[in-house]
Amino acid sequence: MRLGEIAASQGFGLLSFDAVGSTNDACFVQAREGADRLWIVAAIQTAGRGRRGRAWDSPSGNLFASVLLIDPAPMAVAAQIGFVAALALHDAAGACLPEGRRAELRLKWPNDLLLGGAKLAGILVESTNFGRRTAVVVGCGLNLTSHPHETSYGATSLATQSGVAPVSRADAFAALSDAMANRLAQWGRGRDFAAVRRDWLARAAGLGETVRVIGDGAPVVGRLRTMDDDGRLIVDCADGARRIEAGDVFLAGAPAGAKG
Amino acid sequence: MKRSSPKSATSAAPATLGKTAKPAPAPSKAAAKPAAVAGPAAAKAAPAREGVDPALVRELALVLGETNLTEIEVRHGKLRIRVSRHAAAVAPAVVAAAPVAVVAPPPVAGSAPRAVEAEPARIADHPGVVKSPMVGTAYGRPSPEAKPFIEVGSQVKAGDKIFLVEAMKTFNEIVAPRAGTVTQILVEDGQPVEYDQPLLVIE
Repeated sequence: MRLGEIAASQGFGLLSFDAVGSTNDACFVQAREGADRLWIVAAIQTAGRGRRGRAWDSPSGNLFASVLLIDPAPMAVAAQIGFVAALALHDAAGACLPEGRRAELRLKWPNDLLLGGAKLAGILVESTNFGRRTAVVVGCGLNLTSHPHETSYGATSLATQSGVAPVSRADAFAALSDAMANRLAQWGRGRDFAAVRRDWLARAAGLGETVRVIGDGAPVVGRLRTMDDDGRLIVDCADGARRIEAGDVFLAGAPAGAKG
Repeated sequence: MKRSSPKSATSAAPATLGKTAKPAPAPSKAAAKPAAVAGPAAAKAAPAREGVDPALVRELALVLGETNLTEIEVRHGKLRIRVSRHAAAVAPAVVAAAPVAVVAPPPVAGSAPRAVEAEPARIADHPGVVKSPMVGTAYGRPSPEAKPFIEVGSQVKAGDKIFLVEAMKTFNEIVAPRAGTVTQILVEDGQPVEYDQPLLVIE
């Protein structure tokens, strides 16, 4: 396991483990020790997590990698980092696919990576404060060799794609660490979210199509118009446009009614 | 509908206000109207037979703000202009200032703000208040099935997890800035929060 050349040249570090509870939690432990710009990669996670405490199935063979960033941007715009990370995962997964297949990789708001409409990778961004410092951890799970079958949203892995050569964790990680370094530089600590938004929209799934958004209130059904300058989704509903700040997005044809 | 000369305030719409100009109620108590008005004051001209003078409308809106009135109506010949303020739209942050238990069910999107029992200004200025660092959704527990991080009466020490604020699937821990006792929890589990909105008070 080693960093990509770009990541290494930009001062990122790497700790690689056989097993951890969660690579995100391991990053927070390192943050308390004073670390920054540190990647943690594990062969397996014994307590991998997704949104709101959902389990992230973490069998051996897939990539589980988290990066720790101290004060990566002002807090008010720190949430944009999810889009930055989604682009990085898209770049990294694209590097693992033959060129002709890359257009099948799409991003589902805010930060899921789909291949042929099924979830190939997920991101969990968490932050906390130590005194005046904010530690932000971006956790990435990329399905290389296997994927869960019992999800409300279809899942897939690179190994189940025909015509795709096997990808090692080491190669996938090197690509991801470089892509993340590049995308963080593009974002410029939040100064250039416009560029991130533009690239995200160019890879977005379901633009112009009917989507269903399930949050804590009533489901929102409408046509997915765009993402606004703050990263919120704009959905045109029968009773007018709605701006979505939270919730799970289901694209047309995807199973609905359950949380993804 | 009563009328008056320019710049004098009347009780145009809510007929119960009486003839004398009456200060607008504090936003916290005037949350009954739907937040359909984007700005602090909305101007409506009726019936618009003659050209409406935008400068006059703007001036009236300013007077409305300065005097803290809810409504001003003026008449020029056939032209009548009424400028009114919907208090609920003025300060969205304060509607969440009610001390409610964090275990209460999440509010339905777009529902009317609930009654406010505490003075919002005092809570925001309270030395022990903890505010949201971002726009997002506040959670009082790590997962829907888990126990709340804290409850009213909980003892916390500096650095303890007390809330989560989710913004676009970024989960931000809010940690106790100091040790103390949680005396008030000001938002519900799953409630949308604004930047700098008071979340709880630690004393």
